[in-house]
Amino acid sequence: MQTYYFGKCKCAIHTDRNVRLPEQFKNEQAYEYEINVSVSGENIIPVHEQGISYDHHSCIAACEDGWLLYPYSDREDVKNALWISGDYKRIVSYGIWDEHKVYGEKAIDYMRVFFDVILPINGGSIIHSSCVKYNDQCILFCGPSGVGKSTHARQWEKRFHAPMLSSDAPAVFLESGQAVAYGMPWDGSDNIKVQECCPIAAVVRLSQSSENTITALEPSGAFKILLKQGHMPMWDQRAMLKEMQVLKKLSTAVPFFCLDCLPDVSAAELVEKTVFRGGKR
Amino acid sequence: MKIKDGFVLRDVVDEYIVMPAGAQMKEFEGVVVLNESSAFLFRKMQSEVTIQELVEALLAEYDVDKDTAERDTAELIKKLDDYGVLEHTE
Repeated sequence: MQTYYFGKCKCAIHTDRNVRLPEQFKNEQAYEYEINVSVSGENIIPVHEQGISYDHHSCIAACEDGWLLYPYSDREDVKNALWISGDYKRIVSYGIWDEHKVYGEKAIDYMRVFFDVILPINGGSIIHSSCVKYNDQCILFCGPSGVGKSTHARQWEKRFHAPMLSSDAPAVFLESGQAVAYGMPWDGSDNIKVQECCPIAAVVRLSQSSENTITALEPSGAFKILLKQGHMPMWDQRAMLKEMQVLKKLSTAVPFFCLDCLPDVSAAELVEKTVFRGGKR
Repeated sequence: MKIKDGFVLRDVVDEYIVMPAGAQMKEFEGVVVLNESSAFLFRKMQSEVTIQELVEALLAEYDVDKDTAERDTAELIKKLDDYGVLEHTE
């Protein structure tokens, strides 16, 4: 058995095969819920009904006592699937996944999707954003795909030596009214996977512009932005409602800003001045 | 007109949110956020209703003039139409 700790979760993977998460998540940490993952070795997938397309890569189908997740490309003939129990505590991997890769690599990739429901059920959320650590706090940069979230985050690295906690999808929890971001074992193309957490100083929504301007945003506007940036588990209404409750709390717990910006260090300097020094030089 | 089957209204800490349920979850991406008076109208629209009836309900419930009530009702209908949440009958 291999045990990993991330996003307040203790995740135990029971397998004699090569199914693993990044090694750095093995350091023992405090956790509030447990997930048990096992590999069935079965090639018979219990698919009873056609799933719904979830994120363009995967389908979700309801099945007895839980949900099945399988690759969208396999929707006509499901060869591999992950099952999660209705109480979101057990995951079973069915099938052989990609025989050209190390077994489990793809299954582990797909397991990420289940955390879109596991987190809200346990009081958190995955926020589509780049997260940068600075002054023992962190900032989340969100916005639509292609707006330049990780480009902006790299400006912080360059200008302030501020490392990323996640380039694409940190977990966020509210802890005694304080919002905290957690690095997760899954990330976008920057592949940042660190087992750390950090209080959130601000969330900044990015838009491209020919000049830099930053404005504070009221919680109601922040909530609408978060609804687009949260990984909304559309296939499960209970988890969806929990997700929205988390996002609503987040919208009031953290200062929000809208940043129209150039893709250079001057934008990072403006945010740093506004968030950490009350706009003063 | 009426709200299509499979859409529900939820109160999330003073935000009113229209969510898909059941079969609509396969078709509908995202959620719709409404203010309090729009949520009031949404509830009326869960049964068959006319624009005139909605305007009258708004005037009876809120302290607004007729022009505002008509404009707000028209804006909500357009918003719900844009999201494909409404069905119109003859």
